Amino acid sequence: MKLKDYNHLAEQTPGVTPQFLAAVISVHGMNTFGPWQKHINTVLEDNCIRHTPVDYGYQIRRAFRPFTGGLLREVGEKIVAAYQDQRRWNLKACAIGHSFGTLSIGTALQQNPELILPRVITFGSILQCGFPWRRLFDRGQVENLLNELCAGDLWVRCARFMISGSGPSGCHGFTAEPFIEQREYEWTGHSLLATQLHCQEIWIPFILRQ
Amino acid sequence: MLNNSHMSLNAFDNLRSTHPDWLGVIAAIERQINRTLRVDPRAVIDDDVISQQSQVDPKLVMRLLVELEAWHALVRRLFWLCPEGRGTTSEANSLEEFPAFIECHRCGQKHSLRSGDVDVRFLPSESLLREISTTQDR
Repeated sequence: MKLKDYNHLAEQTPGVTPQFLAAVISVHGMNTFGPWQKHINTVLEDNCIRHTPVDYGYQIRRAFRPFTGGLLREVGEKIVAAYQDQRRWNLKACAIGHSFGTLSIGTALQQNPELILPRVITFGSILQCGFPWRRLFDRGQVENLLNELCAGDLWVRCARFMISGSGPSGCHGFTAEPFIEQREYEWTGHSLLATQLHCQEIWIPFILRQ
Repeated sequence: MLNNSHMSLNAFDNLRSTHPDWLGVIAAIERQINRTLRVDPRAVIDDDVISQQSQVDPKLVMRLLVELEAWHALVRRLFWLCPEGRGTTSEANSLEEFPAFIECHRCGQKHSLRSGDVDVRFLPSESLLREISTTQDR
Protein backbone atom coordinates (compact mmCIF):
# COMPACT_ATOMS: atom_id res chain seq x y z
CA MET A 1 0.00 0.00 0.00
CA LYS A 2 1.12 3.54 -0.56
CA LEU A 3 2.66 5.38 2.39
CA LYS A 4 -0.21 7.89 2.36
CA ASP A 5 -2.79 5.10 2.74
CA TYR A 6 -0.74 3.48 5.48
CA ASN A 7 -0.43 6.74 7.43
CA HIS A 8 -4.14 7.40 7.12
CA LEU A 9 -4.92 3.98 8.63
CA ALA A 10 -2.10 4.12 11.19
CA GLU A 11 -3.41 7.39 12.60
CA GLN A 12 -6.71 5.67 13.35
CA THR A 13 -5.18 2.48 14.76
CA PRO A 14 -3.90 2.56 18.35
CA GLY A 15 -0.50 0.93 18.65
CA VAL A 16 0.62 1.75 15.11
CA THR A 17 2.95 4.65 14.35
CA PRO A 18 2.44 6.58 11.12
CA GLN A 19 5.61 7.32 9.17
CA PHE A 20 6.53 10.98 8.73
CA LEU A 21 9.83 12.86 8.74
CA ALA A 22 8.44 15.91 10.55
CA ALA A 23 5.24 17.74 11.37
CA VAL A 24 4.26 21.27 10.40
CA ILE A 25 1.63 23.58 11.84
CA SER A 26 0.76 26.51 9.57
CA VAL A 27 -1.09 29.64 10.65
CA HIS A 28 -2.57 32.12 8.17
CA GLY A 29 -3.01 35.88 8.48
CA MET A 30 -6.08 38.07 9.00
CA ASN A 31 -8.36 39.20 6.17
CA THR A 32 -7.97 35.78 4.46
CA PHE A 33 -8.77 32.07 4.87
CA GLY A 34 -5.13 31.24 4.02
CA PRO A 35 -5.38 29.49 0.64
CA TRP A 36 -1.59 29.16 0.66
CA GLN A 37 -1.95 26.52 3.36
CA LYS A 38 -3.80 24.32 0.88
CA HIS A 39 -1.21 24.98 -1.84
CA ILE A 40 1.72 23.87 0.26
CA ASN A 41 -0.14 20.88 1.69
CA THR A 42 0.57 18.75 -1.39
CA VAL A 43 4.28 19.57 -1.35
CA LEU A 44 4.61 18.85 2.36
CA GLU A 45 2.79 15.52 1.96
CA ASP A 46 5.00 14.58 -1.01
CA ASN A 47 7.99 15.16 1.24
CA CYS A 48 6.62 12.93 4.01
CA ILE A 49 5.77 15.85 6.30
CA ARG A 50 2.54 15.85 8.30
CA HIS A 51 0.74 19.17 7.95
CA THR A 52 -1.91 20.67 10.20
CA PRO A 53 -3.29 23.97 8.92
CA VAL A 54 -4.65 26.11 11.74
CA ASP A 55 -7.72 27.98 10.52
CA TYR A 56 -9.41 30.66 12.62
CA GLY A 57 -11.67 32.00 9.89
CA TYR A 58 -11.78 35.29 8.07
CA GLN A 59 -10.97 37.96 10.68
CA ILE A 60 -10.53 41.71 10.36
CA ARG A 61 -12.15 43.59 13.24
CA ARG A 62 -11.04 41.15 15.95
CA ALA A 63 -7.42 41.47 14.88
CA PHE A 64 -7.39 45.20 15.64
CA ARG A 65 -6.93 46.76 19.08
CA PRO A 66 -8.54 46.52 21.56
CA PHE A 67 -9.68 43.03 20.47
CA THR A 68 -6.26 41.65 19.42
CA GLY A 69 -5.58 39.85 22.71
CA GLY A 70 -8.82 37.85 22.54
CA LEU A 71 -8.16 36.64 19.02
CA LEU A 72 -4.54 35.77 19.88
CA ARG A 73 -5.74 33.63 22.79
CA GLU A 74 -8.23 31.85 20.53
CA VAL A 75 -5.64 31.15 17.81
CA GLY A 76 -3.09 30.18 20.47
CA GLU A 77 -5.46 27.48 21.74
CA LYS A 78 -5.78 26.10 18.21
CA ILE A 79 -1.99 26.08 17.81
CA VAL A 80 -1.56 24.19 21.08
CA ALA A 81 -4.28 21.69 20.08
CA ALA A 82 -2.54 21.10 16.73
CA TYR A 83 0.77 20.67 18.55
CA GLN A 84 -0.72 18.13 20.95
CA ASP A 85 -2.14 16.20 18.02
CA GLN A 86 1.29 16.11 16.32
CA ARG A 87 3.04 15.13 19.55
CA ARG A 88 1.22 11.80 19.72
CA TRP A 89 3.88 10.39 17.40
CA ASN A 90 6.97 12.22 18.66
CA LEU A 91 7.46 14.09 15.42
CA LYS A 92 9.76 17.08 15.18
CA ALA A 93 7.24 19.93 15.21
CA CYS A 94 7.70 23.03 13.05
CA ALA A 95 5.54 26.08 12.42
CA ILE A 96 5.02 28.32 9.41
CA GLY A 97 3.31 31.63 10.09
CA HIS A 98 2.17 34.46 7.89
CA SER A 99 1.30 37.99 9.07
CA PHE A 100 -1.15 37.71 12.00
CA GLY A 101 -0.14 34.03 12.11
CA THR A 102 3.41 35.06 13.11
CA LEU A 103 2.06 37.12 16.01
CA SER A 104 -0.12 34.16 17.00
CA ILE A 105 2.80 31.70 16.95
CA GLY A 106 5.08 34.07 18.88
CA THR A 107 2.42 34.78 21.51
CA ALA A 108 1.51 31.09 21.82
CA LEU A 109 5.19 30.26 22.46
CA GLN A 110 5.40 32.97 25.12
CA GLN A 111 2.19 31.91 26.85
CA ASN A 112 2.77 28.15 26.64
CA PRO A 113 6.24 27.19 27.92
CA GLU A 114 5.50 23.54 27.02
CA LEU A 115 4.95 24.40 23.36
CA ILE A 116 8.14 23.30 21.58
CA LEU A 117 8.62 24.20 17.93
CA PRO A 118 12.26 23.54 16.99
CA ARG A 119 11.87 25.10 13.52
CA VAL A 120 9.82 28.24 12.92
CA ILE A 121 9.34 29.98 9.56
CA THR A 122 7.87 33.49 9.42
CA PHE A 123 7.00 35.56 6.35
CA GLY A 124 5.18 38.89 6.27
CA SER A 125 5.93 38.88 10.00
CA ILE A 126 4.21 41.46 12.20
CA LEU A 127 6.12 40.51 15.35
CA GLN A 128 8.22 43.26 16.89
CA CYS A 129 11.83 43.40 15.68
CA GLY A 130 12.99 42.89 19.27
CA PHE A 131 10.70 39.89 19.88
CA PRO A 132 12.40 37.79 22.61
CA TRP A 133 13.40 34.82 20.45
CA ARG A 134 16.59 34.49 22.54
CA ARG A 135 14.52 33.78 25.66
CA LEU A 136 12.49 31.15 23.80
CA PHE A 137 15.73 29.65 22.44
CA ASP A 138 17.23 29.51 25.96
CA ARG A 139 14.06 27.81 27.22
CA GLY A 140 14.47 25.16 24.50
CA GLN A 141 11.22 26.06 22.75
CA VAL A 142 12.83 27.14 19.47
CA GLU A 143 16.08 25.96 17.86
CA ASN A 144 16.10 27.70 14.48
CA LEU A 145 14.10 30.49 12.91
CA LEU A 146 13.82 31.46 9.27
CA ASN A 147 12.43 34.97 8.81
CA GLU A 148 11.63 35.99 5.23
CA LEU A 149 11.18 39.69 4.71
CA CYS A 150 10.45 42.31 2.12
CA ALA A 151 11.22 45.98 2.77
CA GLY A 152 8.29 47.02 0.59
CA ASP A 153 5.65 45.08 2.55
CA LEU A 154 2.99 47.74 3.20
CA TRP A 155 0.78 45.59 5.45
CA VAL A 156 3.72 45.01 7.79
CA ARG A 157 4.52 48.73 7.89
CA CYS A 158 0.93 49.58 8.84
CA ALA A 159 0.25 46.72 11.28
CA ARG A 160 1.77 48.37 14.36
CA PHE A 161 -0.74 51.22 14.18
CA MET A 162 -3.72 48.86 14.30
CA ILE A 163 -2.71 45.60 15.98
CA SER A 164 -1.62 45.48 19.63
CA GLY A 165 1.88 44.16 20.25
CA SER A 166 2.84 44.05 16.59
CA GLY A 167 5.93 45.38 14.80
CA PRO A 168 7.71 45.55 11.42
CA SER A 169 9.96 42.44 11.54
CA GLY A 170 8.62 41.44 8.11
CA CYS A 171 10.28 44.61 6.73
CA HIS A 172 13.33 45.13 8.93
CA GLY A 173 14.02 41.68 10.40
CA PHE A 174 14.59 40.52 13.97
CA THR A 175 17.49 41.42 16.22
CA ALA A 176 20.37 39.29 14.91
CA GLU A 177 20.99 35.96 16.64
CA PRO A 178 23.09 33.02 15.45
CA PHE A 179 20.00 30.76 15.35
CA ILE A 180 17.98 33.25 13.26
CA GLU A 181 18.33 33.12 9.48
CA GLN A 182 16.86 36.12 7.67
CA ARG A 183 16.29 36.19 3.91
CA GLU A 184 15.36 39.42 2.23
CA TYR A 185 13.47 39.66 -1.06
CA GLU A 186 12.79 42.76 -3.11
CA TRP A 187 9.48 42.12 -4.80
CA THR A 188 7.59 39.51 -2.79
CA GLY A 189 5.34 41.98 -0.96
CA HIS A 190 3.23 40.70 1.90
CA SER A 191 2.16 37.24 0.73
CA LEU A 192 3.75 36.18 -2.56
CA LEU A 193 6.23 33.75 -1.01
CA ALA A 194 3.82 30.96 -0.16
CA THR A 195 4.17 29.08 -3.43
CA GLN A 196 4.69 25.35 -3.90
CA LEU A 197 8.06 26.06 -5.52
CA HIS A 198 9.26 28.20 -2.61
CA CYS A 199 8.02 25.63 -0.12
CA GLN A 200 9.88 22.85 -1.94
CA GLU A 201 13.14 24.74 -2.42
CA ILE A 202 13.45 26.81 0.77
CA TRP A 203 11.04 25.75 3.52
CA ILE A 204 11.33 21.97 3.29
CA PRO A 205 15.17 21.91 3.35
CA PHE A 206 15.00 24.23 6.40
CA ILE A 207 12.44 21.99 8.13
CA LEU A 208 14.32 18.76 7.46
CA ARG A 209 17.84 20.10 8.05
CA GLN A 210 19.57 18.15 10.85
CA MET B 1 -9.46 -33.63 16.67
CA LEU B 2 -8.51 -29.97 17.10
CA ASN B 3 -11.32 -27.48 17.14
CA ASN B 4 -11.23 -24.20 15.19
CA SER B 5 -10.05 -22.04 18.09
CA HIS B 6 -6.94 -24.17 18.43
CA MET B 7 -6.18 -23.91 14.76
CA SER B 8 -6.74 -20.19 14.42
CA LEU B 9 -4.04 -17.64 15.06
CA ASN B 10 -4.26 -15.36 18.09
CA ALA B 11 -4.03 -12.04 16.26
CA PHE B 12 -6.83 -13.11 13.92
CA ASP B 13 -8.95 -14.10 16.91
CA ASN B 14 -8.46 -10.55 18.16
CA LEU B 15 -9.60 -9.24 14.78
CA ARG B 16 -12.67 -11.50 14.92
CA SER B 17 -13.64 -10.18 18.32
CA THR B 18 -13.15 -6.56 17.16
CA HIS B 19 -15.01 -7.05 13.86
CA PRO B 20 -17.70 -9.73 14.34
CA ASP B 21 -19.28 -8.66 11.04
CA TRP B 22 -16.22 -9.51 9.00
CA LEU B 23 -15.65 -13.12 10.00
CA GLY B 24 -15.59 -14.41 6.41
CA VAL B 25 -13.16 -11.76 5.26
CA ILE B 26 -10.86 -12.29 8.22
CA ALA B 27 -10.89 -16.06 7.66
CA ALA B 28 -9.96 -15.59 3.99
CA ILE B 29 -7.04 -13.31 4.86
CA GLU B 30 -5.90 -15.60 7.66
CA ARG B 31 -5.96 -18.59 5.31
CA GLN B 32 -3.95 -16.70 2.71
CA ILE B 33 -1.31 -15.41 5.12
CA ASN B 34 -1.06 -18.79 6.83
CA ARG B 35 -0.60 -20.56 3.50
CA THR B 36 1.98 -18.04 2.27
CA LEU B 37 4.10 -18.22 5.41
CA ARG B 38 4.02 -22.00 5.56
CA VAL B 39 5.57 -22.08 2.09
CA ASP B 40 8.06 -19.29 2.85
CA PRO B 41 8.35 -17.95 6.42
CA ARG B 42 10.34 -14.98 5.10
CA ALA B 43 7.69 -13.96 2.59
CA VAL B 44 6.71 -10.30 2.38
CA ILE B 45 3.01 -9.73 2.94
CA ASP B 46 1.74 -7.35 0.26
CA ASP B 47 -1.83 -6.07 0.52
CA ASP B 48 -2.28 -6.15 -3.28
CA VAL B 49 -1.35 -9.82 -3.45
CA ILE B 50 -3.44 -10.79 -0.42
CA SER B 51 -6.40 -8.89 -1.82
CA GLN B 52 -6.19 -10.59 -5.22
CA GLN B 53 -5.61 -14.07 -3.84
CA SER B 54 -8.28 -13.90 -1.16
CA GLN B 55 -10.79 -11.96 -3.29
CA VAL B 56 -11.28 -9.38 -0.54
CA ASP B 57 -11.86 -5.63 -1.01
CA PRO B 58 -8.36 -3.99 -1.15
CA LYS B 59 -9.32 -1.27 1.34
CA LEU B 60 -10.47 -3.85 3.85
CA VAL B 61 -7.25 -5.81 3.42
CA MET B 62 -5.18 -2.68 4.03
CA ARG B 63 -7.09 -1.89 7.19
CA LEU B 64 -6.85 -5.41 8.57
CA LEU B 65 -3.12 -5.70 7.83
CA VAL B 66 -2.48 -2.46 9.75
CA GLU B 67 -4.57 -3.85 12.63
CA LEU B 68 -2.52 -7.05 12.52
CA GLU B 69 0.55 -4.83 12.97
CA ALA B 70 -1.11 -3.35 16.05
CA TRP B 71 -1.66 -6.90 17.38
CA HIS B 72 2.07 -7.61 16.80
CA ALA B 73 1.42 -10.30 14.20
CA LEU B 74 2.99 -8.29 11.38
CA VAL B 75 5.92 -5.90 11.25
CA ARG B 76 5.93 -2.92 8.90
CA ARG B 77 8.59 -2.75 6.19
CA LEU B 78 9.06 0.24 3.89
CA PHE B 79 10.13 -0.18 0.26
CA TRP B 80 11.48 2.79 -1.68
CA LEU B 81 10.47 2.08 -5.26
CA CYS B 82 12.46 3.42 -8.20
CA PRO B 83 10.24 6.10 -9.81
CA GLU B 84 11.43 4.83 -13.20
CA GLY B 85 9.56 1.61 -12.47
CA ARG B 86 12.67 -0.58 -12.04
CA GLY B 87 11.69 -2.09 -8.68
CA THR B 88 12.83 -1.57 -5.10
CA THR B 89 15.85 0.68 -4.68
CA SER B 90 16.05 0.53 -0.87
CA GLU B 91 14.13 -0.82 2.10
CA ALA B 92 13.95 0.08 5.80
CA ASN B 93 11.91 -0.33 8.96
CA SER B 94 11.17 3.38 9.30
CA LEU B 95 11.18 6.44 7.07
CA GLU B 96 14.01 8.08 9.02
CA GLU B 97 16.38 5.27 7.98
CA PHE B 98 16.14 6.38 4.35
CA PRO B 99 18.57 9.04 3.08
CA ALA B 100 17.13 12.23 1.55
CA PHE B 101 18.63 11.22 -1.80
CA ILE B 102 19.70 7.89 -3.25
CA GLU B 103 21.85 6.80 -6.18
CA CYS B 104 19.48 4.19 -7.58
CA HIS B 105 21.23 0.90 -8.30
CA ARG B 106 18.30 -0.03 -10.52
CA CYS B 107 18.35 2.84 -13.03
CA GLY B 108 21.58 4.69 -12.19
CA GLN B 109 19.80 7.99 -11.52
CA LYS B 110 19.63 10.05 -8.35
CA HIS B 111 16.21 10.10 -6.65
CA SER B 112 14.93 12.24 -3.80
CA LEU B 113 12.66 10.70 -1.18
CA ARG B 114 9.00 11.20 -2.11
CA SER B 115 6.09 9.72 -0.21
CA GLY B 116 4.53 8.53 -3.48
CA ASP B 117 7.55 6.28 -4.11
CA VAL B 118 7.34 4.54 -0.74
CA ASP B 119 5.33 1.34 -0.46
CA VAL B 120 4.45 -0.24 2.88
CA ARG B 121 4.37 -4.03 3.13
CA PHE B 122 4.70 -6.38 6.06
CA LEU B 123 6.86 -9.16 7.43
CA PRO B 124 5.58 -11.78 9.89
CA SER B 125 6.55 -11.23 13.50
CA GLU B 126 8.51 -13.91 15.33
CA SER B 127 5.43 -14.71 17.44
CA LEU B 128 3.24 -15.21 14.36
CA LEU B 129 5.81 -17.54 12.80
CA ARG B 130 6.08 -19.49 16.07
CA GLU B 131 2.32 -19.85 16.20
CA ILE B 132 2.09 -20.97 12.59
CA SER B 133 4.79 -23.57 13.10
CA THR B 134 2.89 -25.03 16.07
CA THR B 135 -0.64 -25.02 14.61
CA GLN B 136 -2.18 -27.43 12.20
CA ASP B 137 -2.53 -26.33 8.55
CA ARG B 138 -6.08 -25.11 7.95
